[in-house]
Amino acid sequence: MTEPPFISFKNIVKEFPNGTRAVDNVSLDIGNNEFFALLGPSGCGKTTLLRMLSGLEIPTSGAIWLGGQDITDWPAQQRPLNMVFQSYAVFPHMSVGDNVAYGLKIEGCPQAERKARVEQALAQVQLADKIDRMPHQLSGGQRQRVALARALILRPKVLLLDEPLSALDKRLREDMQLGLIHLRNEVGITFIMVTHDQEEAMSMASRLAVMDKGRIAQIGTPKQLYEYPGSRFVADFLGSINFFPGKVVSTEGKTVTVDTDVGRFINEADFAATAGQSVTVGVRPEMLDLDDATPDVNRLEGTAQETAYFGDYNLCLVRLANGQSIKVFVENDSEGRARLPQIGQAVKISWSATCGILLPD
Amino acid sequence: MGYSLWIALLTTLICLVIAYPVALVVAFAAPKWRPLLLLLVILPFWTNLLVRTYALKSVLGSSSPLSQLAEGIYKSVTGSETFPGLILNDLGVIIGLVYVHLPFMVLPLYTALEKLDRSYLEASLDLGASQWRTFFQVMVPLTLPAIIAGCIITFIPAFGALVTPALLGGTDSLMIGSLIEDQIKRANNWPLGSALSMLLVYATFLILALQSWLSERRARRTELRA
Repeated sequence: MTEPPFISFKNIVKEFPNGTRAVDNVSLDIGNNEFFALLGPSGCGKTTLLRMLSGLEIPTSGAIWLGGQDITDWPAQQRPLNMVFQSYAVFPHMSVGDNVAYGLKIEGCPQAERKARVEQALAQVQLADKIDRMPHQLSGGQRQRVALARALILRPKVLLLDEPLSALDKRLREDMQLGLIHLRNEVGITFIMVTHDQEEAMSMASRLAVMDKGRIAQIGTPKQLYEYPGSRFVADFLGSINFFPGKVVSTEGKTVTVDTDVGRFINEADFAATAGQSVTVGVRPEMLDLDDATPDVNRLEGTAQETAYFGDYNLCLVRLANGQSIKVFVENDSEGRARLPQIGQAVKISWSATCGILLPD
Repeated sequence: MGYSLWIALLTTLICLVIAYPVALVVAFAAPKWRPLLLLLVILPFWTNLLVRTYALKSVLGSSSPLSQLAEGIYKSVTGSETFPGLILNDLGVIIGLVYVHLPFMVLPLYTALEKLDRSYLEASLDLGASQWRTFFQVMVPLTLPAIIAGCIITFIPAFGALVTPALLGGTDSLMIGSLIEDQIKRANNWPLGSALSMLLVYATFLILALQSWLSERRARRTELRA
């Protein structure tokens, strides 16, 4: 007999009184000690799903299991999981120490032990010296760490993070990403994060679920989802991609030949494609080469229309003969600098058959 | 003076206890119901105070069904033969003042509760606090400025009320407003009437000064923790 999953959403449906179906029949298993991310555009139901796990929303139908117990009807207070809110919700009328001690006081933890645990929890988030400060005297990043300490001090089985980094500036966000990964390894519990930022999700999570319109579009590791997306939505949501819709001409093993508006392409497929099937060829901008030397497959010609400088790479917008614009990333190394075309210059683009993504329509 | 103070304090306290749940219901109601509920709260303002007080007088008068019901309950509970009545005594004054001043308390509380970030309440529940604990340790402290504001704008007019105690009070329910009226209109003792009026003004100033001192102290205390 296989062990049941640590957290299990079973056919969860959530309808709000105004009739919107925020979560539409979602089933999802999350293992112990995972760093799991729920990723999707705003309004896709990811936060609602997280709030149902925390007990702040009740599912319309379906069940939620945690550690072999059905917790669907448990009130938020009794669930062994704690949440870090998007706004942090650090109580403004209490000092940092009182905020962190809040949950322990409710548990009836004796004062001496409470003091020691509060100090330890604050040390864990590098805020030991701020114990007597009021929240309005802290920066956004510090307030977030107070919220983290306040949640972790109760030793929950799962920590829920609702858009944990969205309110921080870019520099701090990168530090905090590493900080959260480190923290998770240290405390060794399951982290579940909700985010709309695909880079954040991919860099932090060990596994993620992409959600769209209340349903799960795909579940997998960041690498699986980025390199082998199962649909146009997932491919488009995780990073930039160029799409060429077309029809399958022939298949030979995994190698599929596709006719599109802009030419005939050869690509590998990880599904059984049949001749005549409508498919989309997707190619990520970093897989495209502005180089004549590549083999004589998957070639495109166009005119450089626009370039944008990002420091570590350049984005080049190339206009094809049929009017479609495609994105090409040119790395800002010595070779890339030499290859970067002038605006208006004719360019040749190519990619190898293993670099494209073939998606069934 | 002492009597006015006592009645006004009691009125304010009762208003607070009634208004907080009312404000909660309005603030947490579905958005489409909120304007209607708010309208119900402020509806009495559209009628003149005098008219409303007379209406209350007939609703609570000794021949009214409400009064007779209260009489029945009072007599069976206390075993007493006489029922003091709902109005023409201190109870009448308090009922009247609470009724008239309730919206003054509800509105600031509603505004504060409506603006209150729900995630504070959710965080408290998430950390294991009961609903009551969340109410007293998170919701009340976070709406404290509105509670103080509501108490002051209820207390000040209740303290100087004239019409309500005059119509609903008994002969001995002499609040400071009625006293001033008596001195100026009937006794023709303008000096005493004016002095009493100034007393009222001083008392109001004192309360406002107290409030600003309290809020300043609160601001300073949070600064000192730095």
